[in-house]
Amino acid sequence: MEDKINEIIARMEKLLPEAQTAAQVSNITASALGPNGDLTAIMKTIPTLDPKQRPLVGKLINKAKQAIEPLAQAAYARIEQARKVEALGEKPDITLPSPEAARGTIHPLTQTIRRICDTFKKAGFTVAEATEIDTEWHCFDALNTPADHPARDAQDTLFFPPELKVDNVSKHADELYLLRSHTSTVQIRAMLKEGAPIKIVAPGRAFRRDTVDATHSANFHQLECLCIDKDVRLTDLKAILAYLFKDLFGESAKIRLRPSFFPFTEPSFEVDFMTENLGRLSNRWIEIMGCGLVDPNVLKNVGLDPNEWSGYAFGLGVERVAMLMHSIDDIRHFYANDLRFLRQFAK
Amino acid sequence: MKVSLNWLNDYVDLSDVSIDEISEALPMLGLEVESVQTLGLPPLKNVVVGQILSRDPHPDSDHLGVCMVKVDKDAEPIQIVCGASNYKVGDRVPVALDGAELPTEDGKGFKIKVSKLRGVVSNGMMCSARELGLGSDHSGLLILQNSPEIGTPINDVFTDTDTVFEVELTANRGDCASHIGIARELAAKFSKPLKMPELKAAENYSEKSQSGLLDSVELDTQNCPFYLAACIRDVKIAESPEWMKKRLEAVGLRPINNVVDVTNYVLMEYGQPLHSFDAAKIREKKIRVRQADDGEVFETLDEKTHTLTPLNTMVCDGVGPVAIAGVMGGKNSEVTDETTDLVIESAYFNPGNVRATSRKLNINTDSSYRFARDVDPQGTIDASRRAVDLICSLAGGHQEGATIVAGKPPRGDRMIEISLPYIIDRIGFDVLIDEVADVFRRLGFTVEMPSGGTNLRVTVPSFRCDVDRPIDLVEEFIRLYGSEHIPTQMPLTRASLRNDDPVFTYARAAADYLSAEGFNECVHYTLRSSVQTQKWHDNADILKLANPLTADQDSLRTSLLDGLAGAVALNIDNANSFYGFFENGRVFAKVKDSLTELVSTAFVFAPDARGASWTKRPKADFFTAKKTACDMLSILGVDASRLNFKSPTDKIWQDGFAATCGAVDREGFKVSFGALNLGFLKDAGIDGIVFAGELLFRPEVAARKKSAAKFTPFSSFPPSERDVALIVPKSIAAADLKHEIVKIAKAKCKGQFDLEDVNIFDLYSGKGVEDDKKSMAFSMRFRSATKTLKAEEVNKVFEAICAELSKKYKLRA
Repeated sequence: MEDKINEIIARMEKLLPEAQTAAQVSNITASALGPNGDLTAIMKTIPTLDPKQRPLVGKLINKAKQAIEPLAQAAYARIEQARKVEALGEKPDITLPSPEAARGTIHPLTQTIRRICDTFKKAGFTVAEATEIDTEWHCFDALNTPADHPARDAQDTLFFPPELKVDNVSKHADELYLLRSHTSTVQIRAMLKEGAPIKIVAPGRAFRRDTVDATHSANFHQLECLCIDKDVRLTDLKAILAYLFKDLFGESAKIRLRPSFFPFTEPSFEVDFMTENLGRLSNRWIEIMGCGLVDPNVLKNVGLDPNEWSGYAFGLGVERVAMLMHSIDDIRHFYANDLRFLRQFAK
Repeated sequence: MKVSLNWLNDYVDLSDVSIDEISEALPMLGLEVESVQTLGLPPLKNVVVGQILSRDPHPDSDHLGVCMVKVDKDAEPIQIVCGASNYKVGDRVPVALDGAELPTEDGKGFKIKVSKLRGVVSNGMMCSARELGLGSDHSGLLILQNSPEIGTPINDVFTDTDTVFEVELTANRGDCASHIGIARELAAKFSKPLKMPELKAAENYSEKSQSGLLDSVELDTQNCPFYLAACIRDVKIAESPEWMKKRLEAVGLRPINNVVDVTNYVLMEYGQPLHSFDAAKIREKKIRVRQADDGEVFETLDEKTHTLTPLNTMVCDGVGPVAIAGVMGGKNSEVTDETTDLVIESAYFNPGNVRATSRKLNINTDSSYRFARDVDPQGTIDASRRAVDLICSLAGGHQEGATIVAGKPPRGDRMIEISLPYIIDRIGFDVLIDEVADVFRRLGFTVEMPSGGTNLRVTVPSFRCDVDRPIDLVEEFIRLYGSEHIPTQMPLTRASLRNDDPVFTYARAAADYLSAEGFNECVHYTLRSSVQTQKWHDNADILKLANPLTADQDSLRTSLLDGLAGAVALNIDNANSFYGFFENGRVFAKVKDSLTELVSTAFVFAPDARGASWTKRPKADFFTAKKTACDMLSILGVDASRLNFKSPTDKIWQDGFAATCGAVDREGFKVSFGALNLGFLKDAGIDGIVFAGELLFRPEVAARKKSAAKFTPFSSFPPSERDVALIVPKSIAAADLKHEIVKIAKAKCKGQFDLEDVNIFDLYSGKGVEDDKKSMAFSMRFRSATKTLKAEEVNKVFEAICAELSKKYKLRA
């Protein structure tokens, strides 16, 4: 009897791992455990056996069942797994390129703006914006630029017809609308709206009536920085500039402040910087931007008392920084949007 | 503006300052140096006059000679090997000694060292003219004439060496538009005294004429507050002396005659433009300064005719204009070879007016350059005297009567009070009051300092038009003291509790999303052609500029799609394969007769520009555009699932293949997407199909505050689903049908359980469905908050829904 049972187990151990389908597993299992299975047949003989032998045979049968059932489960699992693997299809050539759309690119000007804004963020500045259309007062008068200043000439600045109404750009008085010639308008709008203290960076477009060439563009991007607080001094201006250029161009970057003139700052300086790793421009002074302490007249124009508040401001040319950072030789690349250009700056 | 070093030396002794030091000092004073040019013999060290005592043949060369050359009276001659043959023993020639550096064209310089030439020691080099940087003659040694002393430095033999600095002035520094002005800055920088020219002409002024040459000067415009006219008789027009011609040429002026040259010389010296009239040509012996009449015509010295407007200020005689004030004289009153009597004008013209006239008439002269930058009103007096001195000494002649004076100088000396604590408060570091006073004095300011106090009373002379306030004095102080003394520290700023502008935050998120989806960011010009813009956009007439530079940039952009279509065309042309492009930026639209500035994000994708691939993927299509556009809305904070889309009326979209929602004057935003108009694409140079999406919104929409979402509990019981397919005319919109189903289903469910969702899962037309119909299948999901639904109760409701639907639509079996 025992031999017979062991024979059944051995048969199951051989057949079940070989089964190819769930039906085969079912049939094989049934040939032992089904109503007509041989183990079931043996079970049926138990009542006919010597009562002393019955428990022994019963035990053997149970043991056999416990051996066969896991074998069946394993066979089912194996077949299920094989079916799923089949669903995965052929094994791919992992070196083939993905046919999905590749990740797109962020424009190098946007990257540069983000980078500079992030640099300022660490020093406690936040981003401000204002409209590209502005008015003569916000673009010039408020910034202490006299009415006969050359920048205000129709040869240099783009104006709108006097009859134009603009819905969401406020006027100071009855002045002309124009395309802002610098982002310094954001200083004025921000101070008028938010007062002081204020620490902002304002990236955006500026417009000049310039003929387009390798270094000039009908519109370009500037990044304006303004800090107004109690007791802001030249030492603070120099500190933020030294930090800015080290953060952008590395620890070796140095700056110098060269006296200059802008109507909206006093004292005014041109900032030159010098750094390593700029190719043929390495280790020489490069003129990069204008800066200065905000002129007391500008503070008065936005309703701040110059005896109480002081500050600094500067405007950085985004294209210029990007061109230096990436060794780009022609400003027109930024506006052509050829992917062979754009993809070089993908990160 | 060009400045000659030799000329500067008349006013400040710069003999102990190197050219490099000057070139570095000027920019740090705020005077940018564009170029430095050497005229004549460049400064050379260790190059001296030598006399050739003997010449022997070189033992090892046919063309070299071995010379003994005396280069120092008190020392033994030295041996020099030389290849030239144009000299004879006894000649004196320039000798570059050991350590000399000769100029080369590449600017690197050529160092002279003791060396061996074919085995013979040579202790220097005898030089040709070219080797000294003195012209191009290289035919042999430069044989020096007139036997200059042996050992004399060569620069003492060729003394016309000069260095010319091209200086660019900022708009506020009219006082530096002259040699005296620059000399004053350098004198201040190097703490040296400034020497002014000695003036001889009598200091004699009268409002009434004392000369038969000119009866009166009348100022009839506020653009000329001050005018001096000096009358000079009996001049003899001739060439100017060499020294003056050389100086004028050094700074880029062409010598003309001894009178015109003097006026130019004084202009370059004092920065005060003068004008010399031929007194005989001043009709009615009157000078009157007035605004031009509209349409008045005038011929200037350069024989160009100008039509004037009342903007232009004119110097006139008794009949008509003789000069455009501060800009250029007239042909009609020009000094010629026949001139004998002169009227010399020295005046102050309003800077803004001269600048405007100069720009309007497009005449830029040395005179307008200076007047536009504000000349020294008091300086007109010295310049007038200097001109009289020089003319009388160079052209003969004598001043007749007192100088006629009209008006008053508009600016004199100003006293500014400033305290040391104020200066320290602005610069941020400590300085001593004596250092401050010293700087101001070096600049030519007068300083009074009550002893022991911290206040300064500073008198700023009239030549400084730009120093009026205490803050201006702070600038002067730091300019001279040196910005390098400002200590560099860590930035010390307060925390900012302000948020980034929501538009910036939005744009950043939109760019991150779109680039992750495969779109490439573009940046296009704001200005476009009005013709193209008006062709594809409505109400685009309002976008035009008043003064565009070119016709292809005469209008604002009203959509980013025009630029993006250009990017698609360019990249297809350049065989770049791509998925799509996007741009963030400001655009402009007409809203109820007004221009409105809007924020926009737009994207485009060209399904056929992806490039071939080893495996196929479904092409991106209208619904890709819809998803992308709706995602952008959600980045902006608008729930796209609640929006009702309709067909746009804008021409830029292909009719029937696009959708839009919103209006900037109503909801504050507008979103559109679909296929771009095929004609528009053709115009842009694109043959294929391009899908696109555009979001426009008013900046304040990005700032709308969103309250924190509140949690809604959900059921823990399983859902139950039922499907229904309807056969409907093709013209029925899915959203309308779904809306109807939801309405009916909700009504039937009411009070029993919830309709959780209705989803369109199949759309079919073709075999088994009439031609003008479609089959649309919906799956409804029911769920109860309180129990597990039984099949029978769901079936009952579902059958009621189907019964209701079948009243209106044909249900598919």
